[in-house]
Amino acid sequence: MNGKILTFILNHHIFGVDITVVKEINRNVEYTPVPQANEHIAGLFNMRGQIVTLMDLEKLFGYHQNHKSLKTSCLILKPEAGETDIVGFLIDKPGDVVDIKEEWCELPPANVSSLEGKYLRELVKLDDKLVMILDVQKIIQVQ
Amino acid sequence: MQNEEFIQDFIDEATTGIETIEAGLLNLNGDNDISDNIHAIFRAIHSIKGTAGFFGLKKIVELAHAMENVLGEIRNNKMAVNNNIIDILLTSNDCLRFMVDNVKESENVTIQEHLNKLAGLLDAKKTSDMQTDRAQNVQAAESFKAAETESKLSDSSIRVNVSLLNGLLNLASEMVLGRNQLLRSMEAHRKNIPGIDPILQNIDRITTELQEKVMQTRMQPVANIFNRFPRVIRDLAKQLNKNVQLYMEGTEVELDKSIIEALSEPLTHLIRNAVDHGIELPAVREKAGKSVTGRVMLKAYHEGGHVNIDVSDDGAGINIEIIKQKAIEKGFVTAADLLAMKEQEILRMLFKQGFSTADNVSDISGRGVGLDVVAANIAKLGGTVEVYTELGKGTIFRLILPLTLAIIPSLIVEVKGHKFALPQVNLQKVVRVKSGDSSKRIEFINNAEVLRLRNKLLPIIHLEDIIGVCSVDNNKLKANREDSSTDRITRILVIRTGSKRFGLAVDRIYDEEEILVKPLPKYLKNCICYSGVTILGDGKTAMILDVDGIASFTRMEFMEEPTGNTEEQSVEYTENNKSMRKLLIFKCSANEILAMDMSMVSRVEKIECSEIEKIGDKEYIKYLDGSLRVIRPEDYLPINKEPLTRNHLYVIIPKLRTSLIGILATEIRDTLEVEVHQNEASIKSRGLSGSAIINHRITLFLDVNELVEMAEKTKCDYKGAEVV
Repeated sequence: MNGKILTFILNHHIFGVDITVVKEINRNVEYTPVPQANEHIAGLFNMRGQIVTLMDLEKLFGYHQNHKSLKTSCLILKPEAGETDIVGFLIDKPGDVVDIKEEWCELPPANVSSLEGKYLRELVKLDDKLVMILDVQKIIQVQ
Repeated sequence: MQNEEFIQDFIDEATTGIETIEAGLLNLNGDNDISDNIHAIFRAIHSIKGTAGFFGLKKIVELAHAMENVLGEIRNNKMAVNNNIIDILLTSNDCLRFMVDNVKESENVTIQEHLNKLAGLLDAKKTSDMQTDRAQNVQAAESFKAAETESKLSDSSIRVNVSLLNGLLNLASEMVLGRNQLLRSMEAHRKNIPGIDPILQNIDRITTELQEKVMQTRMQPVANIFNRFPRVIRDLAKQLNKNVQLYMEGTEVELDKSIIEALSEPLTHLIRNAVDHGIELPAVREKAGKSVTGRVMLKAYHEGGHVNIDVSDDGAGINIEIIKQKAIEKGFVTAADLLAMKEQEILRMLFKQGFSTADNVSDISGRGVGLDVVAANIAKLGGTVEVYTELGKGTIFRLILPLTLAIIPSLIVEVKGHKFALPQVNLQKVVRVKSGDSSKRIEFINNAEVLRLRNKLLPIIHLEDIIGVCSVDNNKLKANREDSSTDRITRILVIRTGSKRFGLAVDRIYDEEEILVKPLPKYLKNCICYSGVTILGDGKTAMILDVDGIASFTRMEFMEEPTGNTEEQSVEYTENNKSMRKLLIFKCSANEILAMDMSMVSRVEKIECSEIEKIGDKEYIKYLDGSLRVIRPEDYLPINKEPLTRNHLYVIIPKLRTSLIGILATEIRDTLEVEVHQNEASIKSRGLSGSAIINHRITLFLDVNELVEMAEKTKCDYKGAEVV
């Protein structure tokens, strides 16, 4: 894709999302876990009176969580038109906004077979690092 | 076509206008003064015509113009109102409504038929109309003026988009949270900052008021739905050849907008039922000595924090025998079940799926779907439906509704650090069970935990099991609970939903809180135990528990309708001699072993023999700042008496309704939970209810009430002797 992406760090990996789908970044959120919810739902939090569902991408991608890091930063996505439920992703650390060009991008190589491969849209080769661009649509449709 | 937005405004306005016209037309029937009414109608049709002309909606203009002509004649008292005119105007109005609803297609609607009829009215009038009265004209002009001032008043309300109101509500409640946080954090500095106190108080007050006002904006009078029913009744009555008059009361009662909207369908159904099944044909009514015109009443009123809406008719009533018959036919119940059922329970079967008592399936109602849908819809709103009926006199359907959906009173509870909100509607009471409190002890039937509460057994569900906070295997859990129940206080919420009743054990109970219900995010739709989300006073979110969901989650099979016959059931339970009983086993001076039900024991005290004081021939001890008479069972029962060898005794204080009395025992042997095969025949005496073999010993069961009665009888005899 061409355009700007917002990068963030999760479990020592660098991910990116199309910046146009991001509403805001919140630090120090206090979210409430919801018992009985699906595993990848970290919990709910109150963002100025609106309920935000936070997703735990580590769980979704099947990363090993050996240390119970208490994440407090999250990335809130813009709800689509007609959608009332707001979704956020828990992240370790927000990164930068990066301009990317189509020619730097590539579809995930065939050997990216782990769970996250399912949710990747493409890979971006920057000078010093690889950024995995998430397919946000696919992630928020996980039931 | 012109700007979409303006068109939408026109549709909103015209719809209101059409409703005004309809209501007005229906009122023209009455004998009361019609001039105000006709002005309102005329104004409405006129403004529809005007605006439609602006948008170039020719057909609407044409029809509105024709109606206006007829109405103008009526307004000027040049035409007498009769049913025929009103019918024609009503059907024209319907056509107008159709065109407004489908504005884009309105040009293709055929309105010629309506135009002809309206024109026909005018023609008929012209032939008979030659004289005009001046005085009438003057009068009409005057009242027109009056009507105009009224219209200025109604300008003080405006249309606001609902989503804007919802946003406002959200912000207002957020403001309340912000205020709470502000007050909390400023608490420490109140004294240090001069002048801050009144400012905080001011913010506090204004915020509260703001929230209240915003809540009020969502309230609407029930008139909004009631007003469509005069038409429904009129049409139905005509169709069925019945004479029906609708009376409405309490149309000003206000309910939350969302409730008002959801009420329309159930109410329409009940009204249709009332006219179709309730009100009899005029001939039948006359024979029964009733007035020919049937009465259907719609009444809204406040009662105890709820709004009730009664739909009543003075028709035939519901024949309970027919319900019984149908219920058996459809296999809902057996004849034997019916005998045990109370009238209310039988009537409640009307709300079961697939139940219809109408003999003939008609166009209007009686398709066997209906009342169950009504009940389900009302339940969705957090309300209930009740039926009262008297054969030959009429029927009342009562809808009991919460004032508002958005804010509900609820109890905040905690389990393993998770806070939940439980709607108060479902909560019957809160029970704290301490160890040793025998009347409501927790017991185990295999692995199932039950609470004995007022002689009923209540299944207990632990919320922590439901939400899956811990997943230990069942036996271990049970052992844990049995073990810890000796030194732990268990808090049990007694919950009722429909006919289901169960206890929900939680760790902590916080305050009651009025919570703002927010819908469950779709990502949590698979959690059937929640009905929504809310934000608590501290700004954190909490899940709202759905007790129906919890009940179905546990897959408990609830007995249907235990409401009426629980009394009988519990009697059966104690009369069944082969039953589990919790017993206190003790001895009195000699070797006989006595037992009494733990449920009868209030407490057991250990005393020194020297504490017993003799007053007359009776013995007393000091107990709780007062004196307590103590009796020795061996004085009254056919058991052996031996001199005391110990220097301490036990006083068993039974639970009695009337008197406070203690029973002296020399030895408390045990408390046992055993299956007792009580034998009432072999050892019989007053004060004993029977005997049984427990742990290879014959054990006598005390009949505490009888024993105490015997002890008090001697007192009375003594008194009597004194008087003589």
